[in-house]
Amino acid sequence: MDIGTLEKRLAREKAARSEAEALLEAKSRELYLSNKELLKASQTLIGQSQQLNAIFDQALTVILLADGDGTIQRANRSAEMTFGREAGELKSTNLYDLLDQNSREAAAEMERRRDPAKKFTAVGNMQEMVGLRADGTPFPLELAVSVFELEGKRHGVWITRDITARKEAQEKQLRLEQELRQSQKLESLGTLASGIAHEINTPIQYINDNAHFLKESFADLMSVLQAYDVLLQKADAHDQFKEQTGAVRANAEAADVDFLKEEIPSSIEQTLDGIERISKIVTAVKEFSHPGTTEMTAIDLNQAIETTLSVTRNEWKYVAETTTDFDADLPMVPCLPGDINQVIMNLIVNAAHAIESKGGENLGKIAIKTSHADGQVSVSITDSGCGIPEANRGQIFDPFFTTKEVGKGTGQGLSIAFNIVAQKHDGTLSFTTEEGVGTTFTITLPAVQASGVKAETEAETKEAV
Amino acid sequence: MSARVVFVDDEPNILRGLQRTFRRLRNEWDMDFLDGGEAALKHLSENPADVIVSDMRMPGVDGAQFLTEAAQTHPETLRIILSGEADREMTFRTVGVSHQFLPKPCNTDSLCEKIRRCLAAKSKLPHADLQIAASGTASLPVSEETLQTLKAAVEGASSSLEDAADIFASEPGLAAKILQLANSAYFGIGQSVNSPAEAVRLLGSDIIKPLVDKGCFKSAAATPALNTAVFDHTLTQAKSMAALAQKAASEAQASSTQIELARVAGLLHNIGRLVICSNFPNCYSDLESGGAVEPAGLDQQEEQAFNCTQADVGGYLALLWGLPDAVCTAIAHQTTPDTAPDPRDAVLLALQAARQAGGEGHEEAAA
Ligand SMILES: Nc1ncnc2c1ncn2[C@@H]1O[C@H](COP(=O)(O)OP(=O)(O)O)[C@@H](O)[C@H]1O
Ligand SMILES: [Mg+2]
Repeated sequence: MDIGTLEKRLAREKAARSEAEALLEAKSRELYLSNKELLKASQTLIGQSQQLNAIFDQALTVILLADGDGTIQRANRSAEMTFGREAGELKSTNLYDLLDQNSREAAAEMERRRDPAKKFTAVGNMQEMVGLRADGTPFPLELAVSVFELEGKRHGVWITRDITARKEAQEKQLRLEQELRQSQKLESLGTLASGIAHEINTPIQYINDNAHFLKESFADLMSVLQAYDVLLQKADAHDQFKEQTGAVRANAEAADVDFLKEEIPSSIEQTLDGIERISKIVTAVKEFSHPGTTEMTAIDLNQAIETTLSVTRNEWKYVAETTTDFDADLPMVPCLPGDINQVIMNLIVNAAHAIESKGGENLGKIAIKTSHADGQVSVSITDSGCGIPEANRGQIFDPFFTTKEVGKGTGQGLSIAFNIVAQKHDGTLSFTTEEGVGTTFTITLPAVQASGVKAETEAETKEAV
Repeated sequence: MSARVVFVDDEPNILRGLQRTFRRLRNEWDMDFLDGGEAALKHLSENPADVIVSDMRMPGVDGAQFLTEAAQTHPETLRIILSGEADREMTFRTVGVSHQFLPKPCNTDSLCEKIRRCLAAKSKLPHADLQIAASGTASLPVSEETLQTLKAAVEGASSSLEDAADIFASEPGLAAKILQLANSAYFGIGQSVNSPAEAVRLLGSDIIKPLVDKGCFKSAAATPALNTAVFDHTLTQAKSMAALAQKAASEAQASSTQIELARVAGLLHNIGRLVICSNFPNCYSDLESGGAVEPAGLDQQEEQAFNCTQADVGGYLALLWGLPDAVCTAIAHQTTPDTAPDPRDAVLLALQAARQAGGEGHEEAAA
């Protein structure tokens, strides 16, 4: 090869090489640039995913991601806390195990109805279900389910929230409304009672007056009749009156005068008795309902119990005998009279029911006793009823807790009674019970403090002397 | 002369019923049975009366309106309400113009007994003026200071029924009126209440507050005819007698009820004098010529002026207002215990002992 050829070749090769070098440089520059972009993109992605994770974990709402079988892929912190699990404990367990039996079916049904094409359209649509905490305690929750496809496989996302607090607030509200309704009922009963009392008392006044009048006038008539009898006997001696005396005797016999003499006074007596009972009941109903008294008023509890017993007579008279043991020196008690009467009524009615449910041939016993000590007044109502089983003792004061059939019990009696005694009167309501033997409910209330007045007058006495 | 008793009701059956039951008294009482307030007012404008027994709810002129007018035109009458049930507003209007409120149905025997006793007490007052003063008394004067304290006690944001109860128990004018209202059925069933504080608690602030607001209790300052010197003395005397009688009863081991009754009897023993000194300020002529205020002197001047004692006036007022029996008797018989139905009654004895200890009795013993 000649030198010229060689040189040319060299030159060509040089050129080619520098071209290749330039190309390489350009390419590697391109590579560098795209690499840099890639890095940047991946950093953004990492940032975004960190953000998402943070949201996922910080969300107060429970978020659970599961595959088509319900095996949990991911669970957020809120999920673990709500269901009472350690970190990471939920992963790979089954979603449906977090719900109680009924809710499991409902949730599965929800999931079946979701269409993966319409991804997260279902979030607003939440259903109330019952969840289970780690120890199996049920609690109320709301659940929304949505499904989507990932790599051709069906996945589910559960969004749920613990609604225990909200439920409690609702129940409290409900209870307040119930109580309000109850007190309105009592209030209108009171208004009704005083209206009826007026309507009944007016006729009672004149029925009573008339019966008294009949009683007295009959006595007067009787003495006249007696005088006539004497006359009749005298007339018998005279033949010319024979016809008349015979007629009188026949009349007297037809009218059965001897019977009338006996029965008229006793029938009037019984009428008067009945009138007295009616007016007692009317008075009792009026007193019991205390219309219009919404402020603390001092009352004689013995009297209030007497009244309540007569108003509730129909509730207990077929199942029990009632006895009272009243503290004669019971101090006055400041209270809302209508409310306190209701408490006593609820306890008496419960006692009667307990006796009834125990059954048995003989009448049961309801004994009511009042006493006072250390500025406290107490009323105890003891029944010989069925007693309260151990298992129920913690719940009887709960609103709506009842062991009675519908129509007989509402489960509100004791909860209302407790509220009235403890909240409104600063007193206590407690019980002791023995199954099959009976139960005693005891109310204690603060009494009026009369000591201040006494101390003062005593000081005055000393001064005056 | 037989007493004239007027019954007023809009229900004819009630009137006929009363007419039949009271027929047995036809020789003792002169009775009229009138259908409604209007007819009754017309009747009264033409006829005198001693006793009025009226219903409350009546069409046209209702019971409150009728009694208000009757109290003005016939202040000498004993005015009793006999009513089934009345609304509160109407009842407040009757507080100053009627003496007692009986709920229907009422026992006619006890109504009759009540009327008889009042009429008997009335007949002990020989002067018509004095009879009118007693039955025309809507409320007894109360010291301005006490009334202000009472207003503060019931009105303030921190109003306390207990404070009010103490105040009511401390002055005769307040104690007597509140016992009248609680022992009658004005605001409820009406039960026998012996203690003013208990009466206040029974009525409750729902009733006490409007009573105070509506001016049911009059201040001495608002009683223009009042002889203030005698009033002040009467008040001091009442309070010290209350304490002494209470002490006497508790030393005699009386029951707690009797001890309170004795205290009340002491506090109210000279309500008769409150009536006299707020209606006849000039009856005490000795005082005007510079005499000192002392009980025996006052007794004497009252007797000179009216031919009866302040005890007679007080006893009448207590019966009119239906105060507890033991208190009525103790007041009426404070100077004549031997003529009381039961001279050994614990309350009467306590008041006697208090009078001895307080100096009222000695004067009499000496006299
Ligand atoms: N004196 C009693 N003896 C036995 N059980 C009682 C008695 N009082 C209440 N209970 C029980 O407490 C439950 C709740 O009482 P309560 O709140 O008054 O509602 P209710 O009477 O409507 O059932 C009753 O159903 C009953 O089981
Ligand atoms: Mg019940």
